[in-house]
Amino acid sequence: MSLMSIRHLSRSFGGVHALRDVSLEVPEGIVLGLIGPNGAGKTTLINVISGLIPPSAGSLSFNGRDHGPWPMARAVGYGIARTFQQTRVFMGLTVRENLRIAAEAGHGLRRDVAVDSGLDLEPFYDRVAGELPYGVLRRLGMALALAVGPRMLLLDEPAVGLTSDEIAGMGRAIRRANESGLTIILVEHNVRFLMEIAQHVAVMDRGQLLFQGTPAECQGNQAVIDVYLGKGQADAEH
Amino acid sequence: MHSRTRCYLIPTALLAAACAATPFLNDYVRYVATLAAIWAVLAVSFDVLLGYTGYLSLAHGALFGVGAYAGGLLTSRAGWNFWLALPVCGLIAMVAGIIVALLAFRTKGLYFAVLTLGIGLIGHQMFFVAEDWTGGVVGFVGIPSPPALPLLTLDPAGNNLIISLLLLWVTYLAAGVFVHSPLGAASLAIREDVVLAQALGIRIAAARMTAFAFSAFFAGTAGALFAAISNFVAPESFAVMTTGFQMVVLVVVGGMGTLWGPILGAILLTTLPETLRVASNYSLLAYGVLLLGFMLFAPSGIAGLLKKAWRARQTRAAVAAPVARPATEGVR
Repeated sequence: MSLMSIRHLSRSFGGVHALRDVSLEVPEGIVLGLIGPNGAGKTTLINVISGLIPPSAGSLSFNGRDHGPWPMARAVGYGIARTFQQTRVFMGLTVRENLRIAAEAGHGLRRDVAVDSGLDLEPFYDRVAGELPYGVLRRLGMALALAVGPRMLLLDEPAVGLTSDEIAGMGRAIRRANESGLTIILVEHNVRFLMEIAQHVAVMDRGQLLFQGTPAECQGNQAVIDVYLGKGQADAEH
Repeated sequence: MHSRTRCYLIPTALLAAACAATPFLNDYVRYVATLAAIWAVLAVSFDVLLGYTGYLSLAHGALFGVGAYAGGLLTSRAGWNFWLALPVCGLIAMVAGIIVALLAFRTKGLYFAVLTLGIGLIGHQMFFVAEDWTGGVVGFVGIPSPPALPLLTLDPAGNNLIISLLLLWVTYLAAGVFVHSPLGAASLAIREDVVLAQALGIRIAAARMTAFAFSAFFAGTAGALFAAISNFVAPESFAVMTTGFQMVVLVVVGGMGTLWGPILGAILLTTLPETLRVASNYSLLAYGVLLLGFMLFAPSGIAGLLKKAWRARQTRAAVAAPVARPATEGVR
């Protein structure tokens, strides 16, 4: 059963069509990997779903209910949380304060998120976020999104800039969140990382949905290889 | 001791100590302490808006004035009991504050500060213009003093000081409840990163409006108490360039986002001009130098300096502590 249906979604910035008539079904409980070259519209799609920007046309339904363009705070109320491509946490506050804010925003439902999620944040509880290493900040960003108690989590390049050990840890945390029942949309340029985690893959190119299927189908699709995957695999080998 | 319990017990103990010391102080010290307490009420409530929510309002001097004139009108002309008038003046200032906030929150950052500056200037001018209500340039005279507190046999100066300290205590506890509530967490999030706050589902409008209304309410009660203690108010007490900026200075020098820091700021900056009165020509100079010094060398204010000293002391104590540990520790 679909948790979210995206129907004919478009978004333009002036003359630039970042999203063109995108329709996508997101079944409940899966990790959907979203890949595509730079400028394909992946982050724009995440921004529209999370309510950061409104669509120019099209509609979304979540959990069986149609919703218009929603402000971001309302999207969280529906059960959609997100992380950002550029690390976004409350830099001037401690990890404990960061998590407290997110837990309060989620009505205190997930106070134990830092322990449950396997993100290994306990050693940093009393440290100010601005003083922490990049890898810890990425984990904190995900913990904040988890702490509001969502049904769907939108992760925008969670592995970018991480070391191989940190990427493995992030992968474990994403799987753990998924196993707890969370539906996840994962935008990621690290194709190997994404293919290991995602059960479904959607490929975007120039604002349009090019392909949707399993990772194996995706890797065998000539159009996907031509547009992105060949290049991505070549990148990964370097 | 639980940190939240400590938040409420320490100010209560300090209030009790200050009240116990009051009979032993002379009238001049009582007067200065009363002024410091009223400034501290303003500073603590303003810290909720500036320090915790990150909005620099320059309209609060006028809101302090709204409370003062409302207090004068209610107690002298309408004949209200002071204890009833005090919260009502807070509510009147709060309603005025909500109207200001509805306008000001259409902007952000520097524009918010400039817009509230404009509102503060208009408010100050209104105190001159609305002569029938405010007495205009002559001021509002004949405001009744606060009534004597029951069970206490104090002269008026001592009575005023105890009432001011009680209002400060209530303000501090209320501010503590606010900042530890979900709204307080939301306010902190707004100060730090509005987009992330929204991404976490925080209703920005509700949280910042509550913070503004909170600070306006207590600015109004402080104004009403100030009017009753002074028996007279005039527009110059509520100008942006005096009270409006003074509130910012108290919070910044005391330490933003701490609640207790602004109280220290209020005490320091109220007593400083008094202690320098013998060299009054230099008192403003000293005031300015102090501000410059804090901005350049201690931007986190007195509270920041004290926290740093406390952490250094704890580190020294940890280093000096014996390394021997109980034999059972490794078992856990």
